[in-house]
Amino acid sequence: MSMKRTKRHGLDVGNSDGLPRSGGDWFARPANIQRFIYGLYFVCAVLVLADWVYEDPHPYFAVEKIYAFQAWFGFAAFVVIVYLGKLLRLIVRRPEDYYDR
Amino acid sequence: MIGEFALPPGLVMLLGGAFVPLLGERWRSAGVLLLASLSLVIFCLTPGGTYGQFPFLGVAVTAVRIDPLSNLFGLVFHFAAILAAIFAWHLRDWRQQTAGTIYAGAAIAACFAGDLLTLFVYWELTAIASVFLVWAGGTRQAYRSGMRYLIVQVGSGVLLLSGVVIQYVETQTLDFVSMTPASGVFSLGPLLILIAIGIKAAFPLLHNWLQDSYPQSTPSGTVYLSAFTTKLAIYALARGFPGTEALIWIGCAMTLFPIIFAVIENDLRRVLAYSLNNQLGFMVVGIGIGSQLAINGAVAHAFCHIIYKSLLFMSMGAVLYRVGTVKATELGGLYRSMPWTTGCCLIGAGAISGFPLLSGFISKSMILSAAGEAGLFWVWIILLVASAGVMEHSGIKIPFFAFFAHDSGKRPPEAPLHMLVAMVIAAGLCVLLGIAYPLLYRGLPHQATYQPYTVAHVITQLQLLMFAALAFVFLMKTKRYPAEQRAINLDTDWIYRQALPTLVAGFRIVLGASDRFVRNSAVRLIVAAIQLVKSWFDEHALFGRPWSSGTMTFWAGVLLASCLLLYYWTD
Repeated sequence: MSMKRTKRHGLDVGNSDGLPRSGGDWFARPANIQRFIYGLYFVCAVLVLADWVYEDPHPYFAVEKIYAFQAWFGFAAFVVIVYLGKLLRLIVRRPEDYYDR
Repeated sequence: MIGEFALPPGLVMLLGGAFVPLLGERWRSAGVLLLASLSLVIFCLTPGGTYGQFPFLGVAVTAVRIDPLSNLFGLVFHFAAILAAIFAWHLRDWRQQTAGTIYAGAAIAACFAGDLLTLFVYWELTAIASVFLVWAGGTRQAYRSGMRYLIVQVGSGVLLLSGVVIQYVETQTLDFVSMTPASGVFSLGPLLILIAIGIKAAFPLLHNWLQDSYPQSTPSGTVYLSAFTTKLAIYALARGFPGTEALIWIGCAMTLFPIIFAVIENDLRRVLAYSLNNQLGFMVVGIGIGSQLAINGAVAHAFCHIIYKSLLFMSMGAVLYRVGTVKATELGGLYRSMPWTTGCCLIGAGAISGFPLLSGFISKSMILSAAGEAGLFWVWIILLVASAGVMEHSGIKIPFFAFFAHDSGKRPPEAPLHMLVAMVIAAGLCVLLGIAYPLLYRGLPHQATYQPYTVAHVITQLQLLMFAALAFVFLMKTKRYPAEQRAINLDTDWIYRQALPTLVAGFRIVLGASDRFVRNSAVRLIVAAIQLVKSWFDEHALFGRPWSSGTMTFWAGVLLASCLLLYYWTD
């Protein structure tokens, strides 16, 4: 890789939500990231709607009959896990050289 | 093999490993790969059965047993050894190459150990061989972490041996068969064996040696480490304790707590170590449920897991090799210059998350279905939460923060060819197992009629994963996702790395002070006594001063008279 290229990319530090704003590559373009996210929305919508068209022949538990159960469960579980992580960080976070001092 | 004799599978690597240092530097990598391949060929040619019964110190020992359960573990261990040998082709370090070969050979041989005593021998060999891979990291932290690793691993061996001896005394047999008690109450022998296995399987609170040591090793060392020790423990658990109810809840705890640590961990190989712990939890739950479907699920999951976990550790190993760090805070945007590594990592991430058409889906869903069939509602719920957690740390966090996220400005060259070859083969196996799953199902210990690709399975699994991804996008967009930070997180290793040493140091201070106080007091007391006695014998004091002979005669007379009177009265 040439230095010039490295420098150009070195400048395009991502915005605060962690996604890069500009650049020459497909994933570096915000428009493409947005397209990617729209794609995800679309897939999610299809998966929720899919619950109308099929029936689970042998559900193990009653909760599985709730509409799109695993969809909202997955979303909620993910958020809860991340928040528990944030909470845990308050307790267990230490400087990197904690054990070497 | 002819008659009653067969080479224990893995023995070629175990013994051959000792000759690896004798090879020239240029031929050593080829030698390592050749040994692993040769071992695989010999293994494939050896029919099932038990071999090598002989008396040892008056005890009947069985050297080798090959049955469907050990077969699958042996096969996938060979795959892992071959993949690791290809990945480590660049090594010019005979210690790692020797240790890796002997370690893999010992783990394979342990799967085919015919009884508990032979199991113990290989069990300890894996511990001793593998610590050299941790030490190969070369840093002071790696050395100290390796020491802790060695103490824990050898400790597990000592517990195993104690349990085996007690078991032998009680039952007069060394057979390694199910020790699950019908009453649910363990006697001492099986209990010690279970704890020994539990240490190696990283049960909750016994787990932290794993996250402590694996990230300290070299890029290729961790690939070796990730495959064998813990899965050997899973094999031993499936063999010795199927259907032990406590394992269900131990496994549930194992699937849950690592995913929370993984969210906030900065070292991506440590994230993978937590993830490994979580995956072991799924297998332990399966073994705990103990139905045919559950055991099949646990074994299938171990098989698939070894390959995709090797793949993930290889991709992070490649990043470490090229960039020199795998800290999420230092990485990002690497997909531009490492597209192949990125692609392989994404396949591994998809496989571990359980996306349909990849290997994780066809094995994990068996365990979930087994929990459902057994009517274990809360276990099923916990495994769903854990699945969302896997998607979080392995499915999204690992590839996202290493290869995408904010651009770190780093443009490392693509991984070397041999690493790419190993990763592409592993990725291919993940896809192959996901599609041609009957190949795997055919080898499972119980007859499998399970059908993973039903409409309901595929849609519900995709719902879970896609909405978890949606949650990630939501948290990122609303800036709620915790940023990576240059920090470490305390785990149970804090107890023996910080709390106990501090406690011991404090104890020593208190002990030292009280010891000094007691000694000083005693010395002062003796000095005072000497002073007192001295003062009595002073030239002017009672005993020291000159007495007149008249006084002496008087007192002698009194003494004699007293004696006379005493004799008179006592008669």
